[in-house]
Amino acid sequence: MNDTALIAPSTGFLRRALRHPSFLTGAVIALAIAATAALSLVWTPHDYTAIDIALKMRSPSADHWLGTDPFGRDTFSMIMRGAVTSIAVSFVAVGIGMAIGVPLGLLAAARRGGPIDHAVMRTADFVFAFPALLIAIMLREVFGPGVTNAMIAIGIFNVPVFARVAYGASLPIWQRDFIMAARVAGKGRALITLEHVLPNIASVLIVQATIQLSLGILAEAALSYIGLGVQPPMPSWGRMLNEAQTYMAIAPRLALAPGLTIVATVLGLNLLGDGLRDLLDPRLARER
Amino acid sequence: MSLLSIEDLDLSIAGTPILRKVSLQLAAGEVLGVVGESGSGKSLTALTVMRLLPRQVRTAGRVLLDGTDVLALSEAAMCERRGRAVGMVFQEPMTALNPLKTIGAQVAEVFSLHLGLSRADAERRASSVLERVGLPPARIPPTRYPHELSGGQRQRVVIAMAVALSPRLVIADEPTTALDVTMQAQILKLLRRLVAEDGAGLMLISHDLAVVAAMADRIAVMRRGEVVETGPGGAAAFEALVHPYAVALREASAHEPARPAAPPGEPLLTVDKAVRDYPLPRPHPFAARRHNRAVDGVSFTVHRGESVGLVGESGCGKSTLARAVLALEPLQGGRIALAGHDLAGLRGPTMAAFRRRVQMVFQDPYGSFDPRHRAGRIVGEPLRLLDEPIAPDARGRMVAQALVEVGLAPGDADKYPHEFSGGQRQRLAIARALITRPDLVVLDEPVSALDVSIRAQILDLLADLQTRLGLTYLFISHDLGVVRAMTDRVMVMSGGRIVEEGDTRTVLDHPRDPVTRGLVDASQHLDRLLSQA
Amino acid sequence: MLSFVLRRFASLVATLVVASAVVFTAMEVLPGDPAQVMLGTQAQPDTLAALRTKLGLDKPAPERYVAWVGGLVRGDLGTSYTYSTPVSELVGERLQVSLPLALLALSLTILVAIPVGALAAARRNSMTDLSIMGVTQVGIAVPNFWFAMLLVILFAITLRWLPAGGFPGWGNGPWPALRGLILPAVALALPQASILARVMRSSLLDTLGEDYVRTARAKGLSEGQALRRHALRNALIPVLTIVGLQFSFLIAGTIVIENVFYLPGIGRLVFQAINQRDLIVVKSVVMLLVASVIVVNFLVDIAYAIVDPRLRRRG
Repeated sequence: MNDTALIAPSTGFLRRALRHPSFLTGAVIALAIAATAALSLVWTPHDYTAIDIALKMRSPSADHWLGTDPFGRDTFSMIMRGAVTSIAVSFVAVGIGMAIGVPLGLLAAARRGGPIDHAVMRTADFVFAFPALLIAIMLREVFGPGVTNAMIAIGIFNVPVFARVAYGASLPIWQRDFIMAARVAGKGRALITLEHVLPNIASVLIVQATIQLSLGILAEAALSYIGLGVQPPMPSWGRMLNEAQTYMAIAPRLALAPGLTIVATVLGLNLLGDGLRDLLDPRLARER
Repeated sequence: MSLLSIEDLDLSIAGTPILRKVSLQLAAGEVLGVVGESGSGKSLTALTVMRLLPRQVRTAGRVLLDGTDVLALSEAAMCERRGRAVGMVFQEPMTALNPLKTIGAQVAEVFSLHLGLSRADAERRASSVLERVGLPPARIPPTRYPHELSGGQRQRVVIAMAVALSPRLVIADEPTTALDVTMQAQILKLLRRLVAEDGAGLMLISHDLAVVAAMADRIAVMRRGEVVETGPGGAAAFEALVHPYAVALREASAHEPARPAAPPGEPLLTVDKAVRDYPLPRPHPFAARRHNRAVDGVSFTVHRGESVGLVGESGCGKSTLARAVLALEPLQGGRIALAGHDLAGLRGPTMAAFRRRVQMVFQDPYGSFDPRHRAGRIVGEPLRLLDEPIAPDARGRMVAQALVEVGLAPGDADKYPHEFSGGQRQRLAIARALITRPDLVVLDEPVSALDVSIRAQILDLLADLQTRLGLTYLFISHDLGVVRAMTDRVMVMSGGRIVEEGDTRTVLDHPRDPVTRGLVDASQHLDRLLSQA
Repeated sequence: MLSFVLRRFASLVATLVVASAVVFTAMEVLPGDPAQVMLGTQAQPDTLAALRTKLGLDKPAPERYVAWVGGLVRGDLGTSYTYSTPVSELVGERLQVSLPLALLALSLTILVAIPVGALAAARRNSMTDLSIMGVTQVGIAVPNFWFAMLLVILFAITLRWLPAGGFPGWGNGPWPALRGLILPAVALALPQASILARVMRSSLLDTLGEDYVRTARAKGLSEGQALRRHALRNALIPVLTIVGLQFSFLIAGTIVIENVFYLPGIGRLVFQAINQRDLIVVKSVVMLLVASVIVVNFLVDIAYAIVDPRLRRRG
């Protein structure tokens, strides 16, 4: 069809980004959470570990913005510091997933149809059969409870995700004529992967990383909720929800604050990912 | 009164005007050919008649079908007319059919929808329509799924749906562009026979002037959303076109660049009994591995300074052979040598030396550039094949020189591929192929992705460069007109073998092999062939 | 078709074998001696040794692996140290909660997501579409266990319509049991249904842009008819993949959700077993869960072939 001419010419990534509502909303939320986490490392309104039974179950006030929990700890401070746990776990998990998964996916695509391709992709399918939670359970059995296990468990779960995405995005690139042109210019598979394939799938990987970050935050919350995540006294949104469960009938407020924080964070990251996908869409990129 | 009358049709998409004051007439029993390059608005004109336009489209003017303005009809009234009063055939038969439904069911749907027939009755009628378009149920059962049919057969199914209810008007939008030349002629003949039998009007849209001239009673030439000329069809009448653009189109399609005859030198490329197999997927895990032989014992020699054509239908093995000549894929038998050096033994520095001497120009120039690299980096890519690494400023000079050679400016090195026009991109691709001063250039359909008016310029450039730089060309194409204009000798491939070879004019004027004859008949004398029908 | 099924079945068996080896090895390297756990830290060395022989723990690992897999195939999962009952009985009992819960959640997911996603695609860019996209965007971001807590606060504590937790068993008829599973199933289904609805929408939008939909329109089908008769079935193919993947999330979700509602299901069993170091139970249940994910993905592959004739004939 004749539609190719209809797509408006690009006016620079940043200018388009600033006009994109989901990207903008997502970026603002993500930055706010990141800033809160950074701030909590040097300052919180109260000591998030200080237990004071005299202060227990206070309603929100000027001093305790979100009230206190049954141990008298300041909820707002705990949520601030809990952001660090969430971000650390999901970032490390995405790091693990990308560091192992992307090279494997690229390798399998470069060796398409060969034994390496089959070995890598079948293993990826296989690892997929182990939900992150089961991996976390097995890891806990081996190493005992702790935040490292949560990172590794979610990271292992991310590996096949990134391997598949890198593989799936690379295959059509390998079919393009410019790869053959590069071979005619004497480039080998490794160099082609580095100079042509990786840059052309980078946007897909960035979008996937945002999605996995938000899934990582949900997974970290679930693991902490059932006691497989970060250990006390370090706060975590998931464990705060676990502790709030006992008091659901008398103080639903305790469950609301951490839950809404999780929803806002994940929502922000997802909006950011959707926005990035629109802005980096390879189909539009071709017409630019 | 004419069957279809388009009056002052304006069309805009999201505020951008696409069609301006388009007016066309078509009488029952007549064939109207609409010809134009991509982007001329001919497809949108057809979709307007069907009222199958994208949502953001705004139209003005009138489109009278049997006296009724379809632009004023309700959507429900339009649904009744589609398939019944107007049938449409699309360009891409591979994707035009629902992959999950049998062809019989898809044709039967027309009957059940418009005539309210029961399933059994609709299927019976569908079988007879399929028979009518050359798919007899005995040979091609209606229970087949689209993926079990060839491209030509699928296009027959699409045609069956379009003519099932013998509509008064059939619109065919590039119905044969995706098909091989021999298949093209058959499908066109079928279309013409069907509309003649039904006394219907046919609106045939194509970018190919030869197709339109052979088929149409009248021709309309479109350019940039306007009808620039209308005239009678037929080979003689088509010579009568006077609008400068129409004349340019006609001349470009018959353009022959000046190529002084060069005496062939010593043998440069020798291919000796080359065999290339592809493994087929195993039907079950314990089956023996089977192979598809894409190149089957091919032998030929190309001499220095020659231009040799390689022609054949898609799937005949010509592209596979090209990849083997470029040492991109290994052979399973025989040998290929460049100036006496066997390709099989090339490693490291000797491979680099080979790549320096053999370069390639691709069919789709845009696809052969990494969209993230600038023109300078793209053109300079093969310079890594030189023995000595070159300094950045020397590299810049070489890139600039290569750009100037192909008629681009040195400053173009900083642009991205999408900033060039189609013709400029192919110049860029040629610059890249020539920067290492190769002996042999493999040209894979170098002009078939280009609009006709640009083709001539690129062919001139290629001819000029060959003379100036003493290049040897291996010219792969399915377009015999281009091959006739550009090559000294030609080889015809079919089923992985070379079935005929010799002096280009001799082979094309007096084809001996049935395959060559089929190709020649189908392309050069499309009009003659159609008139025999 | 048959050879396609056979090939997939062979790969299913191979995957199960590898999975069992992985689970077995993971449990092998665990610290802690089951015999020690059963008898307590005060046990005498000779009683310990006797029990180890009785449990077969003194045999080499490959032999125990073969014995374990053999048991799994026969349905003999060994005997729990802590409950002193056959693991297969324990699992069977717990499955009466977990299996209906997972199926209920999966059906809810599919029954809600597919029509909703299709509706959004059919009315693209309308208010309906925008609201569906907004709600699902939030639905994806909600942790299921937190949503479960909100449901309990609203429907159990405030409105008192449904129980806050626990499971009366199937003995008192299906209704009381189902009542106990409604909130957990809704909590499990919300995020998955949100994801699936969005997948359905984008898949249907993709197929609506296909050439064959335009062909169908050219035959005279209305937009709705073309969607129902031609686009819908094609759009379901990618949706199937996601349903297969979601089962794995659903399994993990079940484990967490059972903890919110104090449901005596497989998930709770795993947790109790972990805390009591009842390795036989952990090993068998983890294997069971992994196997169920693998089997569901096998079924999805078969479903593909049923939907898509291109896969069927290729064999």
